[in-house]
Amino acid sequence: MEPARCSGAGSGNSGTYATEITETLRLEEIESLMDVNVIHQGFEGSSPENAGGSSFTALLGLHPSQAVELLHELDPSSSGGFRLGDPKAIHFPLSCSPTFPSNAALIERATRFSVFAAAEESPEGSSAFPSNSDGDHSPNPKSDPPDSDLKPQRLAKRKETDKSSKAKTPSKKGKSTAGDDGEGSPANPDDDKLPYVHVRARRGQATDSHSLAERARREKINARMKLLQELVPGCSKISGTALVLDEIINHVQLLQRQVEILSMRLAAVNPRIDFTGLDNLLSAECGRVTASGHGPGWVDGSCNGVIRRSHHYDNQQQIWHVDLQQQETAGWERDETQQLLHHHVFISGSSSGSPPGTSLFGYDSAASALPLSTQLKSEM
Amino acid sequence: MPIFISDGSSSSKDVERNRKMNKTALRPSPKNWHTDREQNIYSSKLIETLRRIRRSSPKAEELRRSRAIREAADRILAVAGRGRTRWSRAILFSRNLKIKHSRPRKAVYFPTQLKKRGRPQVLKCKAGVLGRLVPGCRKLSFPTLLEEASDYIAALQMQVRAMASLTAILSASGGFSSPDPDRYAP
Repeated sequence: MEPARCSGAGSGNSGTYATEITETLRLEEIESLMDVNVIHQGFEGSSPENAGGSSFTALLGLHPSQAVELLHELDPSSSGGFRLGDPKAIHFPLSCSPTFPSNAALIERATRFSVFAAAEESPEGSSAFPSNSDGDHSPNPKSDPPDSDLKPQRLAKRKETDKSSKAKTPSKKGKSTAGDDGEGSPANPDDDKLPYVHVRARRGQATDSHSLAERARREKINARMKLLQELVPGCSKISGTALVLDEIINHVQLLQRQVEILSMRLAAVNPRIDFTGLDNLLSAECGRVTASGHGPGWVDGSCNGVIRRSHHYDNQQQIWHVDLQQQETAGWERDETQQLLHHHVFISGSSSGSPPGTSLFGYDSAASALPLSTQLKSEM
Repeated sequence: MPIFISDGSSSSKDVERNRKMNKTALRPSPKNWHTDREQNIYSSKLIETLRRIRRSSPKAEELRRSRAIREAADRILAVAGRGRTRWSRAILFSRNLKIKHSRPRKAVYFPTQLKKRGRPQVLKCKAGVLGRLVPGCRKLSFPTLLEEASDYIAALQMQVRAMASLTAILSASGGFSSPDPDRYAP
């Protein structure tokens, strides 16, 4: 692929970035970061350079406008090299088609963003980018600060709440009953996240530390019990911790027993469908499709879990697709194609039809382990 | 093999931040188990494992195969939890230790003497029972136990849904699989 070709040194460094990412960022964090990037950068239209790389930008979760900026950025600095203060050199031939530099630059950008999010260096990164900018990079500082502000903001927010809770806990004992009028503790949702608990005493209740701590503990337990009650069906009517616990225990036992039964059933149902004999199944489905003519709805419905769709076809909407596992494609796919051709099972609805002569011809050309989809496509 | 994101190699600051992220991220995770996406991921992984099990033990040993399927299903469930919960970690790490005493599994019952004892004792006993049911949660405090239990129940429900639909699909299409080679000859 072009990104690997574009920068030899870059690929090595991006490998280390990748390991950093896996070590320091969680999956949700990455996803949420990407979502946030996409949301907070307004859509500014697409340019022809991004037509090729648009899918790539979508993969990265970055916005196409950023690719345009990067393209603008990189163009004037191509002769003089990067002034980003970057140790690795990116050598990409600008004489290639314009999608190449955008891809490499987007990789750069994406890795830098994720690295910055992990290492909290986003102010440096955002300042490095505008330092490059000339007059027409006005979208650049506009999109970078909201982008870079988000990450330190989110991290700062956690630190803020932490500091505020730590600051407030010494004043726990200072709260009087008169001041707080039936107000619950506002920091209750933070109980679960933060080590310090900020609890306000309600009116008419004791304020010594023991009862406050106990109340905090009870609130925690009650919150989680409520969650559990919602989860377990039929538990919301029951009042009393012991009975609710009984119901929860019964429910867990029931679920575990169901899993055992289902696993036994799965083990028992398999011999009927040999997975190596799945081609028989598929040919049967094919036959059913040709017979009925509007089969694919039924086929899709029944084989949805087993057969996943892979979109290799352009105008044939009634053809089911087989998700071929990598280990077994060589093995039973050839058998399957042989069977299919042998029984002359082809999906009806093709415009030209498929005379047997061309089918055999198609099979000969596909003898070198083509995947099933392309083989069928060549015959259509 | 499950790919695991481990904390062991990160620095102390990262570990702290990860712990904070864990605490903030653990809360919404019981809500993620009922999405379709998780179920599809789980089903696809289960299909792969089923194929592998089918291929590796072609003999008709139903009991061993069903146990292997169950353990594989639990392991895939634990992997789907991304290792943020104790029960998932316990399942993944101690599978090799628990082979011996997975059978027999007798029913859990409450001792009748408990009715005379005080209420906190009863609660504590039931909490112990629950801790024994949820893997890896035997000696946990009560609130953490409740949290683990809620996540575990949500995960189990997703697992039951996925396996039920899988058996339905497989048995349905298995019922129709009657290969008739002469039918389609021209």
